[in-house]
Amino acid sequence: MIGRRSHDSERNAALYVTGEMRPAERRRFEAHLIGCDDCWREVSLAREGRRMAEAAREIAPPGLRDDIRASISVAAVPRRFPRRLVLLAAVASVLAVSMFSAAEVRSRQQPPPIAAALAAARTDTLAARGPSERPAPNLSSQGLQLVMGERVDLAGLTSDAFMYRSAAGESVLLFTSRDPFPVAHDASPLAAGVNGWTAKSDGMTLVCGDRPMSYLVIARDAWLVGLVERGLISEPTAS
Amino acid sequence: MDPREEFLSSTMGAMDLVYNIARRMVPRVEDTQDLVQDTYLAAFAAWVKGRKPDRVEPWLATICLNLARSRYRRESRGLQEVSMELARGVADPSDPEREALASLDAAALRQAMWALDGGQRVALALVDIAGLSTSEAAQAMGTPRGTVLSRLHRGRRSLARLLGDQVTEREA
Repeated sequence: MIGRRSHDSERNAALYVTGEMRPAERRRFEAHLIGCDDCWREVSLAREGRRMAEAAREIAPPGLRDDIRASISVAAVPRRFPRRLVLLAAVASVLAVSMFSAAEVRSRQQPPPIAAALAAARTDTLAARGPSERPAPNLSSQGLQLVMGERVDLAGLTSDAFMYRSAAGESVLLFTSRDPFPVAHDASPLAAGVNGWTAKSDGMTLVCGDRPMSYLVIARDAWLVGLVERGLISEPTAS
Repeated sequence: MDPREEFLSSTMGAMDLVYNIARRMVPRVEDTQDLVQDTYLAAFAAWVKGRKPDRVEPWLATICLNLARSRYRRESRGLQEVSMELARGVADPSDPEREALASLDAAALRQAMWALDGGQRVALALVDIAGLSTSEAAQAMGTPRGTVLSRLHRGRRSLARLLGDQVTEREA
């Protein structure tokens, strides 16, 4: 005989089909099943549903394992640095390769330097090679405070990287370089008469231009990107 | 040992499990891969702060669920309406059960999972697909075990009826 609590057919069917009933309880339930149409039906459906759910199991895409390894290999190990920002200095050549691999995960279609810049923006992490070559543009007129400026290697493209934060704490990354940045996948040209492009990728807005210097700006918020652009144009020492 | 290597050697064995959970949380493969990767990054951030679990599977599952809830909540509301479409498959006439499953391809099963109530889908993903115990699933979902058992059973039953009906319709 099976008790009232034991005759909770949903609970019993779930436990039985999952294989989590204790032996004694299972024996009692199996004896009960023979004479209880409700429980028999519930168990039959549950078994069928479980088989179907198991059949929906998938194997992860082959490259994902490598992608995760690459991401972890450049993941920050928080030490003494503030915020989420961790500068991984030295071993730049090794990190540059890893950075590229990690960036590639999220931005497979982007040229490697763009993918690396996107990865830096997404993670607030830069593989720094040393202090920036160029002084940081002063964008305080746009309400943006400089957080850091570093020399970085964007998958082979040497660049200065400057991180700014808005009053709301949102970050925006400005990259400048002596060399032109490659054009992002699916980029659109800027307004007529202005050299450069804009694109959306990985939930980020990117804008690239060549005046007053070769630059690339990345932020989640397109408004922040616009602030940096306006700041660069009006910034007195930028040339 | 380098913390990265220690973390990877302890957790990479559970990657397929995390992928399968993530697959039931977000519909697009690209988002799934991002979610898995973000799960590992978040887990690593916790790991280096000294949070090392006894069993990594339920720990990773919990992180994955929490990330998915916080990031994809808005999208997931619209995902209950995913329609059922059955793709063609070759049935094995020797076994009626295999025949029923074989006639449903992976896409149909995936879509049927999305037709379930969200809580039921997660319970099935954690227990039937990822292989967690119902206690571990309850911990990951932040619900009592009895709720998990109920969702699990109702999800299984719905899936059986949903796909069983579709098979019947195809055969008719």
